[in-house]
Amino acid sequence: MLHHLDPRVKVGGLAFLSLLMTMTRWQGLALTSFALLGLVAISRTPLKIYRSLIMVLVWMGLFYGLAAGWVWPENRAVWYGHWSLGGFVQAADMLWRIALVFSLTRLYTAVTMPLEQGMGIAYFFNPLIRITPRAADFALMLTLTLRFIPLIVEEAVLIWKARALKTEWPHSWVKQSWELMQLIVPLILLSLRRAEELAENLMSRGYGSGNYRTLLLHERTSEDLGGVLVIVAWGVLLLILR
Amino acid sequence: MKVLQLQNICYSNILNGVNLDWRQDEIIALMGANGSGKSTLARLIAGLIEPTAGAIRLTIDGTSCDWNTVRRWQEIGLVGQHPRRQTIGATVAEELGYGLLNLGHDIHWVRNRVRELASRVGLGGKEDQSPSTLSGGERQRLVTAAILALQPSFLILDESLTMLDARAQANVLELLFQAQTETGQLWITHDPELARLADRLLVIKNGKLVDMGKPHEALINSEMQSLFGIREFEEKTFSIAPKENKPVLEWKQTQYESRLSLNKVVRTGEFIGIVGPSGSGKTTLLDSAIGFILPTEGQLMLCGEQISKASLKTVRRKTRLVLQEAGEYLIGRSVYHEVFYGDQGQDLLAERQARLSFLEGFGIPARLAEEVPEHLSGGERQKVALAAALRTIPEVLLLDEPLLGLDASSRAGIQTMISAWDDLTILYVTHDLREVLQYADRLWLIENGNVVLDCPIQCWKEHQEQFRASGIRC
Repeated sequence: MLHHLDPRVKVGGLAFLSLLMTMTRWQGLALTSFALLGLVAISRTPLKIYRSLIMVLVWMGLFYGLAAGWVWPENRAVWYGHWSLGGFVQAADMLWRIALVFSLTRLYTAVTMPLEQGMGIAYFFNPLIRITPRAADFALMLTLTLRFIPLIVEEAVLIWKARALKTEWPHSWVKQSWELMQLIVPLILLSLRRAEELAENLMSRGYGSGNYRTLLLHERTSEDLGGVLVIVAWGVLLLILR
Repeated sequence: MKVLQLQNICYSNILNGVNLDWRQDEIIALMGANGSGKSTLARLIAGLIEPTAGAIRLTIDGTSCDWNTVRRWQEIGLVGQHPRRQTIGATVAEELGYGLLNLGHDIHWVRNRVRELASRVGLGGKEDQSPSTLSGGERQRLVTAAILALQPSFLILDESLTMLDARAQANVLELLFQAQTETGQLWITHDPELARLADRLLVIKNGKLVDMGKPHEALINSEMQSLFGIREFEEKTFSIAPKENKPVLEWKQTQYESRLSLNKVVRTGEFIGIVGPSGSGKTTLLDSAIGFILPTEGQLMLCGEQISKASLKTVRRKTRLVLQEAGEYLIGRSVYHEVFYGDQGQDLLAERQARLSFLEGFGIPARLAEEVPEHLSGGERQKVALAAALRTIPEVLLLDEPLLGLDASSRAGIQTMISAWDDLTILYVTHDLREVLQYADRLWLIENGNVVLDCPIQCWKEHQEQFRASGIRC
């Protein structure tokens, strides 16, 4: 179900909840943790995709533990300090909040295609266009980059195929590095050619700086409405539990 | 009625005094050799580059407008060759609506218009999909519709129909003919069949345009026929005795995920013409034969040995693949380096004369040996790719649309080479059956990852309707 939600609901919801995550108390964090587990179950995303977060959180935990757990009296040197339970609790609280924001973001990226993410983010830039045309350019660049990357990956695969058809890949790492360097030049040339084509395509559709407006045709479904209501209710609860 | 006038246009040493009067309701076919300046002329008219001399004028009902004040992107649309490289929108809707929003239309009006356009070009219900999920034909239709939505007075199609199979081409042509009264069109093409459908034929030669008049009359002329490679179907006398050689490639109940399913044998010295609509799995089949993908089920045998990860080195020695648009993916720093890639400095110098003769055998003159591949024409680059693939004689040669985008003389050169490789086992992928009729022993028709027809060349006419129904030109 999460996969089909309008990307705007997902982007907006993630930003809204992440913001509230910095304000709420432990009850709000507990509520969010249970809700997150529920969303992971509903989305049927494999648990292994969250594995990459573990190392990041371990390092952040060590950093916060050290930064908040070790306290020392005022006007004394750092080595006169001692470990503080209150400091550790504060570090754990901070880590909990960060873990929830990271996990929600990971869930969001797992259930939203990159291009949809770009469109969703670009949509929220629209109001900023009234303040500065740069917001439109940024939104356009964001969606174009997300489109351009797969194209370049496709070209890189073809360059790689062309190389694979020539001779055997060398075993020595010096020769491997040399081979890779030789492939970088044609890849850069191809990327430049593709970028030029993209620029020409933009010009032939009347591109002008500051003009970009996203066009989403996604019909508002009852699922989207449900999603918005859940996010609003969730946000209100987090605010109440401040 | 608008008329676009080009007066004595020059650009670098490519265009040398081009003159043209192009009416808004006229379809012009533009033909010419690779590197003759067709695309340069298209980019000049579209305003992407400026001429070094001459003038472009737009007249509306006989009144001339100042070219510098004309919004060129609104007056002149340009559609290129590669559908996947032309889409700019993240979704089908955005693709169709991008130019309309730039025209300043209200977003609600654009939304409705986009829905209408999408359903008109057969993409209704796909508005929120990424263009990358569409087939090549659908994407080209999308891009053409997005440009036509801006209601340009003139539209240039720079080999836009080349990559499409006959069915997809017919769909885009239908769209183009619908727009004919409002939009003058310039079809840049190497395909005389397509050129015949235009109102007027222009040929670019020595940097100048030559008006050949009505294409169906001009193309009857025998000189024109040889110039553009137009050939009547020759009834080939097929040898009845089948080749009874040993199997060289053998797919035994092989599955490649859900993309390809094969159970076929190719014998030594056979020439298999592989045809099928876009996205049917032809390129995947060649990828499987060279070991770029390995079977998820079943076995593929090459000269009696099973292809596996461990045997890829042998596979690549015995099999050679010429990629689709191989000329675009040359990685050597010079022609010589590209063909003799992997040879060390001393090796490259040794037997230089013999190697230059080898290049000449592929129609690459010695003076081009040290040239950077980027500087060569499309036809020359394709010949370099062929020479690189055949530097040592393989057991099996795999060719993926080797004539795509080439002019008649380059095509003829490469076809002459192919006809000389009698002893090689060749798998030749194409959209155009006519390319292989003279050489093939058997034809495979691929649809949805399956060989749905395997017929000896002698019987191809019996299946002509089936080929046509699959979008194959024949």
